[in-house]
Amino acid sequence: MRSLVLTIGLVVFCVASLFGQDKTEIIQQRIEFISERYQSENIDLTNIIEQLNYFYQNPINLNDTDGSELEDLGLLTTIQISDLIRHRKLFGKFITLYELQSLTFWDLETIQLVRPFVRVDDKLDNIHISLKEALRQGKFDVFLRFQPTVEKKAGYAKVSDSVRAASNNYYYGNSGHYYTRFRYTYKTNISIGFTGEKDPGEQFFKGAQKNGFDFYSAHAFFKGGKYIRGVALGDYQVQIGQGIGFWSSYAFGKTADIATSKRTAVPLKAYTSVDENRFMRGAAVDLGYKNFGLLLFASSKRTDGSTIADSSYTDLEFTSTLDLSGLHRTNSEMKRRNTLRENIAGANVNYRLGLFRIGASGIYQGYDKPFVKAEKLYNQFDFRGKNQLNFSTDYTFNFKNVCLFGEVAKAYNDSLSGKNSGWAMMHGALISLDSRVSFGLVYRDYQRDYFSFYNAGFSEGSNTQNERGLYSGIKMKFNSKWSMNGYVDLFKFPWMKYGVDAPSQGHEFLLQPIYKPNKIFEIYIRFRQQLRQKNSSQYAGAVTPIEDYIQRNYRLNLSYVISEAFTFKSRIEFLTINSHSKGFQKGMIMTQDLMWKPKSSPLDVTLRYALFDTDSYDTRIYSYENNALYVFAVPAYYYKGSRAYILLRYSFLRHCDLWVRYGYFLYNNRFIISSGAEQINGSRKSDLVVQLRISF
Amino acid sequence: MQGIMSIKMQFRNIVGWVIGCGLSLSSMFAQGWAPAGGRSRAMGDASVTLADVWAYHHNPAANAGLKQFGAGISYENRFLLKELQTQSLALALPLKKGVLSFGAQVFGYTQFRSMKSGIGYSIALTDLISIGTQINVHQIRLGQGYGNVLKATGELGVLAKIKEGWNVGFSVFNISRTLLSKYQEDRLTTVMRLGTSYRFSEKLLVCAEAEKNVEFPLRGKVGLEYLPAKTVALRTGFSTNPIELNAGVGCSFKNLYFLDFGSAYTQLVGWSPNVSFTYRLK
Repeated sequence: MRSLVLTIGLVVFCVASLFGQDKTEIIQQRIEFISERYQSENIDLTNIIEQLNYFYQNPINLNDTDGSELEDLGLLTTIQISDLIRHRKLFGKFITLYELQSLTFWDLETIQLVRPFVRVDDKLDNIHISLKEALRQGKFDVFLRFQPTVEKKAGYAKVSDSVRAASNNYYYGNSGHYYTRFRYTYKTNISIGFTGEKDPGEQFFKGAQKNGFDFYSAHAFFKGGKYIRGVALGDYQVQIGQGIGFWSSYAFGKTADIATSKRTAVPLKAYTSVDENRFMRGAAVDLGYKNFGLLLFASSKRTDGSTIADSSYTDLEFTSTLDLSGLHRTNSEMKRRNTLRENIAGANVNYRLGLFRIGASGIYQGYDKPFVKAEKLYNQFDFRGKNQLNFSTDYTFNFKNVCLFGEVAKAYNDSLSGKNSGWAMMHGALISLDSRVSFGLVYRDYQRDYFSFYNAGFSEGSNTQNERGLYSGIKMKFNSKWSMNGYVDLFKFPWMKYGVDAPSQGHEFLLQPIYKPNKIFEIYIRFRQQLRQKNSSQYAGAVTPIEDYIQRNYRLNLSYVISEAFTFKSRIEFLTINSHSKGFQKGMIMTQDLMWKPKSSPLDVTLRYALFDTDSYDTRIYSYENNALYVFAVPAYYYKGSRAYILLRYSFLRHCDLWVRYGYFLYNNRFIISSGAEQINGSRKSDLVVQLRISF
Repeated sequence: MQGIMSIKMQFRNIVGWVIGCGLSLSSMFAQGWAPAGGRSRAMGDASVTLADVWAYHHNPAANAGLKQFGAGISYENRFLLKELQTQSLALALPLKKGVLSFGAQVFGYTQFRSMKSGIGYSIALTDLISIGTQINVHQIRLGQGYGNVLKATGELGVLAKIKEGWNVGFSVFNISRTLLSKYQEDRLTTVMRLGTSYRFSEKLLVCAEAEKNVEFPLRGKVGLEYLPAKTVALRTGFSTNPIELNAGVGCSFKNLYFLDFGSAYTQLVGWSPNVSFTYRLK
């Protein structure tokens, strides 16, 4: 489910810029485009929003950039960037943005897409920063967010302390979700920030959370010196190469846009999200000298896990499972909290010559107690022990209309693992066959005993492990109205996986014709087929056989900018699953969105109404939903019922924005929703978000 | 004739292990029909609109535009098994009006061999449309004295231009639905293909095609040909039912001789390479 995509955002985005809509909207639409690519719940795109926000306010000077800022933007392919830089070398500085039309691999759509974020200026940027200027021009952002749980859930029932203390079914805290954030930024050069979050069910200034919020994050970040290119203190993110060896944040999976198969690593970034595990905590520095770069980082943070005392050695403890949910609501969750310390230290050295780049890294990761998960046949090659070393080397090479990229990594595990080391590699190419056609190819081979905790390599499975595959995709523009995207991926899992008791294989392919007769209307259809193999649920005997599991998605999507104020979006999606043991299952969803964003009014309104009908949870359908800034929701729609939400944004007092969003699922013939502590007695599940932002 | 059929059944059992879990080897059991040439194979056999001498095996109308004599031979090996080899021949001889063509194909080994040879004629009716037809004689021979059978089929094709660089093509193999044996009404297979090709530039050609074999599910196929230099072609393709990836390269020498290599890859049974040599008078 980590794959999937869409290009509607791209088009919507262009439409937005056409009408000269405001910044928030341009960025919100861009984010929608990116979120669509994930197709999963609970993703956090805070960094991406901030990056776009920044470049909107401080457009990139095309006469000054070495390409790395354009990569950060995430809207351009490497070939387009190298095309621009080659053009500048050959013909000198750009005089106007209209010159972009003469670039071979830039079409009009691309130009419209990046236009709000770039400029042409013959004065070079001055990177000298004085403290006075930094204070005067810096920007402060304060966020306060409250998300109550509307319906009563079983875990919040009033029970006596003794019952609660003896059970894992009751939450200690209240059902509110609190979030607060403060951040100071000066261009992209300085960022200092603080974030606090309390999940529903966690205590606040009481019990296990005596310090208030359950999760705190703070950072101080500097970027932009000549030799000291970046420094991070506190919480930060590290990205290296293609995400095989080390990548602490998330990255795109397979998308209908082949360009996302190549990762563009931003070596060091401030961490401002609320995922309680996927970040580094400590210090890092990114040094540079001429064409060389050196990134050094160290992190030490506590993580959650179940700890068991070894019966034969009374003073020896080990951790059997890691808990990455970040939730601390019940006795068992609190007991797992911060039981393990994770230490990471790493270095990456890289050399850049023109558009050729090569890097090498070494990373150490260790725990203060052995991490020994229960051994099953399928997971026997996973990491077990205290220490791991990972070495990797990565490259990017641009030549004319071809961009080659890849990474090779090797992990050395502690002797407890049994298997001591494994290899992983991926190599890819993006080729512009024509100004209207680009083609991509990615080969990956991740061994079953290659294991790393922080990775984001191109893969079908959820980890950069136990997978071999070949992906090939194409993006074609036939004329100004018609275009087509497609890809095919063949993959093999040479060893068993969770729920798959044999080596397995499968494929995925997607085809998406797009018709866009003018700038305000777009319609596309998408067909996607995935075949994976899973354990059969019907069999006789002791061995579980695997069987083919074929999923097909059909989608019709329409978006129409009716006027400056009104946008109209419709979607019908149909999904089928076929397998021998479970038979034929289907699901469908129909959504209608209406956005009202008049230019002169301080109030925006977004509405959705949707009906869904799926045979089972297996045939659930994910759908992106608009939400308050920095709140991300791509919920799964399943069973039978309706969904509606209203989102209001009100801007006032020049510096303040208030978001209020109310939505609900109303299920048919279902009187109990969820189970355990999350159980709701009734057929309605609502959600409410109230968020205030003050920026000055 | 019944003997032939039961032996054929046996043969199916023998090669059943190759086929794996019901994978449809359409061209193997197509009984007389298989695409030919390294170029077609490398492009996922989405070749119904390709106007070269190999059109004899893809679309009887597509060679109507040829102006000079051309000839080609090809060799194919399905799944790298020695029993599943195909040798093909194609010839095109432009006349004052229309193009006369000849083709032949041999598949199999001593215990099962199918052969086809025939003659075709195609003509461009206007700038926009060409039609073509063929008559082929098929011989299917089983070893160990089980005998053989000789039958003829009729083929038909159309190639139409929508605008410069954009073609659509359509062909039917065995439009006559020739009966092979009365036993169980066994007929030579019939294959219908409908496809299109779009030339983005001198360097890039993209093809797409739907192929329906009367016995097998509909196949979708796409192919792509890219010429990084005038004498070198890189090709790739993809088809469904079963899922197959294709790739290949081609070289031309003095614009007279062409050497093309292509292969299909399927996950269950692996590689099916095809190599062809083509000669074209300048």
